[in-house]
Amino acid sequence: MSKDRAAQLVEAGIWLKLSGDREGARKLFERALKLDPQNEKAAQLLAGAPAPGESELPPAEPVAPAPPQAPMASQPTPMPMPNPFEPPASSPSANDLDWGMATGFKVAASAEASLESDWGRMTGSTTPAPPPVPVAPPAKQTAMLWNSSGSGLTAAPKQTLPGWGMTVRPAEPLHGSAMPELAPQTISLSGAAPAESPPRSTPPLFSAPPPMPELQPQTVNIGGDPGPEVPPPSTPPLFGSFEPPTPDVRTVEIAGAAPWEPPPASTPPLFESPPSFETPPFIEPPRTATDPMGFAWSWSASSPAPQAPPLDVPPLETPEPPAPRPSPWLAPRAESAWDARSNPGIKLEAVVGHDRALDLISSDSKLQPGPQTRKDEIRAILRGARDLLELDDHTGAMELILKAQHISPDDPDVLAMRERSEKTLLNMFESKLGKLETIPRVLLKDDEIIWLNLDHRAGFVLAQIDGTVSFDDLFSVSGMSRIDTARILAQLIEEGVINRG
Amino acid sequence: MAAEREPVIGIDLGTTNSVVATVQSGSPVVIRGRSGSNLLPSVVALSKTGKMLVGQIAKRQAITNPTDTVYASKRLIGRKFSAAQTQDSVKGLPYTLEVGEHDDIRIKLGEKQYALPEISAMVLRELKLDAEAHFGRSVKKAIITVPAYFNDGQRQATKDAGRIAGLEVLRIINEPTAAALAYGFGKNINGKIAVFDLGGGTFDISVMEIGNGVFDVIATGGDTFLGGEDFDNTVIEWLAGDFLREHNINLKQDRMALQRLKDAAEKAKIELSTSKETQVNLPFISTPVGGGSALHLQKTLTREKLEELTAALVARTITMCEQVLTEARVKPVDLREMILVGGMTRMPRVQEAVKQYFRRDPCKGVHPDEVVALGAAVQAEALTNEASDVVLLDVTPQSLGVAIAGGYVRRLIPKNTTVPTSVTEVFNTSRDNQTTVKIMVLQGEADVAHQNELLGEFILTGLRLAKRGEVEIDVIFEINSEGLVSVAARDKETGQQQSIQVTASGGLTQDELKKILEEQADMLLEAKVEEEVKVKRLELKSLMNEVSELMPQLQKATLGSEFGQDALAKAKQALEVAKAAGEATELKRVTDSIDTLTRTVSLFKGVLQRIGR
Repeated sequence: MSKDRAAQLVEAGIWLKLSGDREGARKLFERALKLDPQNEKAAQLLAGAPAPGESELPPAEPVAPAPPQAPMASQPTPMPMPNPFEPPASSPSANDLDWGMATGFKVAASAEASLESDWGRMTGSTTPAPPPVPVAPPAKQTAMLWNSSGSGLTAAPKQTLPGWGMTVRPAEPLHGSAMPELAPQTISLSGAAPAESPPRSTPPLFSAPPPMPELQPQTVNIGGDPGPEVPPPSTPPLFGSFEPPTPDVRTVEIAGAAPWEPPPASTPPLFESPPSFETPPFIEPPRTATDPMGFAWSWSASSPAPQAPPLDVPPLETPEPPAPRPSPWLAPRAESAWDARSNPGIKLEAVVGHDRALDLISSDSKLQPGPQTRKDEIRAILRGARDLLELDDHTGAMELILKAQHISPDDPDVLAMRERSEKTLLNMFESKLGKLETIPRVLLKDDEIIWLNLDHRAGFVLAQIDGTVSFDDLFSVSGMSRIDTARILAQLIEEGVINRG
Repeated sequence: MAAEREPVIGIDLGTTNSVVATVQSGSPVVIRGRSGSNLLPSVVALSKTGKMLVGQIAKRQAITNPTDTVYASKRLIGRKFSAAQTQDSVKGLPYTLEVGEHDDIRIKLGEKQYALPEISAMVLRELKLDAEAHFGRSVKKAIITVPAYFNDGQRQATKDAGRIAGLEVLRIINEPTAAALAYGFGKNINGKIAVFDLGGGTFDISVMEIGNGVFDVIATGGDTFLGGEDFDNTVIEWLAGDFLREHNINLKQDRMALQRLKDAAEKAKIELSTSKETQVNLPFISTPVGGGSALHLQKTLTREKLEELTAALVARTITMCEQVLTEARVKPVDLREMILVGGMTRMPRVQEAVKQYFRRDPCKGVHPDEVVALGAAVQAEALTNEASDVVLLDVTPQSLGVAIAGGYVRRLIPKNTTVPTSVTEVFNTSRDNQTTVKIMVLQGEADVAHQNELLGEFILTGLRLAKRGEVEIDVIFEINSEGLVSVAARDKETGQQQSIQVTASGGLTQDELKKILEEQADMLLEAKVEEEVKVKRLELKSLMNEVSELMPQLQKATLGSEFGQDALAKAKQALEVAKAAGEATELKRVTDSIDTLTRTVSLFKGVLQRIGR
């Protein structure tokens, strides 16, 4: 039971981590480890291992047939978050790959692939990433992005990436699972360059990715030559261990490049994009590679034809981090925001304020999600909170509720849930205090107290306990909310710092 | 056996702390509060949980809840909102002052406005409860002390506060008078004495002349914004300054840290009155901005350092003493005794400075924090005990007069005049053919009219046409035993007369006071009913448990019988009703359910007994 709960907590923690709440995530991982000290995943994540989807390695290309439905011209809209708390009631479909990664469930490889992951990596958003696969060197794509500034890629054919083809073959059934064999699928993208994420250690430097094209479940052909018809998707893969299958060859055809969209107005660029600049020399991307999962990949340009001869790159054991690429918001030749040589005049503090500078350039999550997306996100968070409540994890649920409230402060569902949870939590904490009229006393000496691990709020409450004030009085003098005071007092009792009433 | 005398108390209603005392077996004693302390901080607060806090608890959350914590309300009581001192105070107070209907001051706590007497009444009520806990019976009569410079309005407001608190205020007396009484002066000492009162928030220096049992404050002065809190603040500055240098964290910007600093500074200051050095330990005082372990503040403060930090403050008190004595034309050597009042006078450096200036050792033997309350208790005892040999008279606290030509004041009733009293004086017109005269009734000691308080004014018309000085007008001042001042002006020749009656107002009208008292009575009644409902609910719960326990027994005993089925069904129904009643606030519903369940229990027990036989 505790293992299950620990697993749930890890899932919730991954979710929080992916959402940017590292502190909240850390707490949940710690709780998970407390419940199940053998939980390796929690230990790894606590030790700083990246959460699934947090990895900024190149994207996995076996995308599921659940592409973003937004049209190309529209602003990129974050995909609804996968809910890590949703139990696998039915067999997960291929587009549950992210969910699987987030929750730790191993999902059999499927021909169905999801662009959701690509979107997540491109935007630096919280969508968990699928297993990394090698991608073409980023330099070309970077150049393309840069060329696109303001005018769109189509204006400079020389600067556009060639369209590539990728054939996707279904994975072999694993452990004898009945996996219907799928016909190779071809996804043909017009104007969509295979996006890549920045190097693992480098925070995303640009705010808005080129919007992904609208995809049909099997075949997408936008603006380019229609690809061949592909059969309907196969039965969703079953759960099972995810062993690297025999290398398959997958081909993605990319016909043309996506016109670059200006970033949303809500994200102020740090620099004015230059009107034009010289394109770096085009380097042909590698055409084949093998990802760490054992899939062999190959890709070919379909239209327009590449200018440079194909360059064969042997399959990589471990994908090398892509070379740093300039952000669309930096000076043209800068490799990063910290490239003082290329950006001698960069004054981040002057643009965004001293203490917020790093936040603004490192977080693409500053993109304001649309109302519908926000609603979806809140719904997902509340579902997670409800699940935790069912597991009697009120503290974890409260963290999620607070997160939801941060996104939408006035949402009635969130407020109602918060009220309910607070009431329950308060009762729980107060029950640990005993009679509220009694006067607590400090059980430790001054020189013992300083070795405790308390924060200043707990320190303040502790300082008020002098043998004359009751628990009830402490609620009044603490200057904090009742629930915060009760939590601190319960913590002090649990740790044997004070006695209970 | 003679009936036990009704207890009577003396209250020192201070700016920062209040004390209650009484006379027991012929000796004045301080009544220890229910919290175990002799001093009750004069602080009232509405906590964030909606609870009204008074005293130590309110003080402890003063910084974390500044907007809803009222302290030093004594500086404002009985004053007009438009008065200069009020306007000065508004700027420095964290709580909200609002103007009342009659230019009186109201304080906003939460959503409600409170008059100053209501705030003081909360402190007085707490002291009354302490006294009642001490005596084990109701306490209704009290004497309350006020500073010597309080005018009629301020005294009346203090009286109103006592009334709201459920006390009959026998008399309002001056604090220095009370201090002198505590030392038994008046019986054994005649002559001039000085009272050096350095409290928590104010400093007063008074010179009194005692003769034949009359205590005359001949000079008073001070600073209403100088007290122990200023000494604490210097310590806070020192602690916070060092911390800022060491950790680059300004503790004064963090309310929780500041509250702890304040408590620690006061504690350290008190300890240094008896020891040479003290440790300030504030673990987990602050968490660094970027996270990380909370920081501790640990410092040693020596008495020498404290004296160095507060030297300027001590010097200010001596400068004021010089001023007051100079104004009263009294030299330090003329003084027979020197009394120290207020907790701050326990600081050795203050005692030394006083001794150095007045060239005599201050009186010792009475705790400076308690001396005023003890004196008030002595006076209360004298008023109520027929056997007491101290004769106390009600006197006018300040002079009364009228404004005269040139902007000056003609005093008709000097201060410390025993009431009731009546004075008549003849005035003349100041201009030729003057047909009207304006009588402005003033209270105060200043020679210039506008520096006194205007109690009221009226116009006498219909004077005959004559040269200046020819028309004579009688101005009659009368103060009755209730303190009511009547002023009349009469044209001596025509007999035409106009008059005005001046009642000291503490800011509340009689109607407002009546309304507050009625509200309070309602609240007390509600609280009583609430308490009763609470008790009855417990009774109901116990009965419900009893019925629930009896039901299976009855079911077993009456299995199959029609009576049993019927009784059980009714009992179940009664339990349902009782459950709902248990949640209700109406006393009647609860008591009705208790009656029903009592009958049910009785019936069940009866049946079970019979069947059992």
